[in-house]
Amino acid sequence: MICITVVAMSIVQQNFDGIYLDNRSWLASWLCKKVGCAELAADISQDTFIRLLTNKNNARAIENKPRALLTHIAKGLVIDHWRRKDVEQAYLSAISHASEHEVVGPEHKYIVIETLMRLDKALSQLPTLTRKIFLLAQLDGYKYKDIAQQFDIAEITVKRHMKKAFIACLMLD
Amino acid sequence: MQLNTHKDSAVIEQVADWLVLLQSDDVTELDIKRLNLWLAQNKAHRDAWQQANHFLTNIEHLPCSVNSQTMLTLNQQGRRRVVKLLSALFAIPTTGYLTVQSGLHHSVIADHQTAIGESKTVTLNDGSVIELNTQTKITTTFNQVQRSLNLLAGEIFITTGKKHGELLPPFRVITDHGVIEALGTAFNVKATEQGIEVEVSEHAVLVTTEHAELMVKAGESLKFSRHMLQPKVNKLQLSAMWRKGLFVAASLPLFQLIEELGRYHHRLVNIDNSIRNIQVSGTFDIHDFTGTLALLCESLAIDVVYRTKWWLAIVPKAPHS
Repeated sequence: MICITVVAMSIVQQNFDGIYLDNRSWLASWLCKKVGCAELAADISQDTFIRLLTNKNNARAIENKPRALLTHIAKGLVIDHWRRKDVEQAYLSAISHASEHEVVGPEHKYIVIETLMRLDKALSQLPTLTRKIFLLAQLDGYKYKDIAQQFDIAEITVKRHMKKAFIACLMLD
Repeated sequence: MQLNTHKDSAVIEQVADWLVLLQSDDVTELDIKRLNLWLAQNKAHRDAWQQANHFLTNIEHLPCSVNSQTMLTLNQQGRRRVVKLLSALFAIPTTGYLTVQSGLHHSVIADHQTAIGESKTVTLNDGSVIELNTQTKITTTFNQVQRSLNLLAGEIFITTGKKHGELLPPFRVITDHGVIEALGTAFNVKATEQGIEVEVSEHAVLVTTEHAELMVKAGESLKFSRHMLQPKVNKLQLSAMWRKGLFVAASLPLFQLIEELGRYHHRLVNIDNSIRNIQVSGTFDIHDFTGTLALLCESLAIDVVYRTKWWLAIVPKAPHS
């Protein structure tokens, strides 16, 4: 099993130049149509090939349907890109109301955006109620028993939702 | 959404259980002991716990003003959802001894280390002072749930911080062999190949290993490892003299003295078998290896042969000299 993976990996790596040359130009123009900016399209196109190289599960798919795989990876990256924009926008509008001493430096800003992206990713796979409960507890600082009262459920149920949400956050890559 | 498959889901589930328990009102002192025990059990537990705390610390670090109800309306807006977060902070724990803080409680994850022969003092933001001896590496996680310090290698002297009128979370030193919980203290912790040595100067610490739980009080010391079933508390002779740049040997075999001093210097030392176990007593300057060797040559029947500057041999004194 492991041997096959290793061999398959090297097929991607060996053929990488070929794959890159064959697909570079159509991918860039496809991306350009999607995002409407040549520079951004070029960036995402590069990232797509990097993803291709670093994920070993791609080996077989690239043999059979290179276009489908590359489009699939690129789509994910475009979504991530817009998502990041949204997160950044939301962050900027949030701190526009902030008092001066709360405004953070660029390094901290990066961590904040990354944290929000992660939180967003983890929570987006959870049911609405679980998400609500988690945010109330973690961001509003509500106690479990207050949350239980608010939703008219048992405290043990609140804990079950919390556990699910913690697991989702911790399992995230 | 990529799930990381090599993460151990059973351990993550346990971490989630602990986090929920710590956050609930039901947490008891016994639970904290159980948590210490769980952390002491194995490295996978400690790593997962550390990772979880890293993530939680980042959430805690979100500015107060990152605010909004909109996080909850994300899904209604389809793919281009807007993320905003609620204004309150990540107020994770409200346990028995933790009070909820309304202000921003900065937490810090940091790495500190020293090179061979180097020592360094670090003051953490709760006021705790950590002195690092030679070849030491630590990481710290300080937030509202815990003040925890991982001793990865070497030796540290800790004076835990106190804030007037404020209850701070318990201070723990996490090692490969067990967890040391400070009970308002100053103490020394040294990691060796065989295990951990802890010496307490003030108050007491609670040591939890897989097999044992022991209180070590001021003036006492304890050597323990994860394999030891019943570690024994001993009277403390001299505590952490390295802080004064000294090492005190009381009837110590020569090779152990050289090993001890070798921690501070890049030297390769061979000791002739016939003199390895000569008993040595005295107080030695840990930073002056050459001087110490000269002193030993004067008082013991030994000679030092320098093969290169860095490589030397300790041999019995030649009979005619």
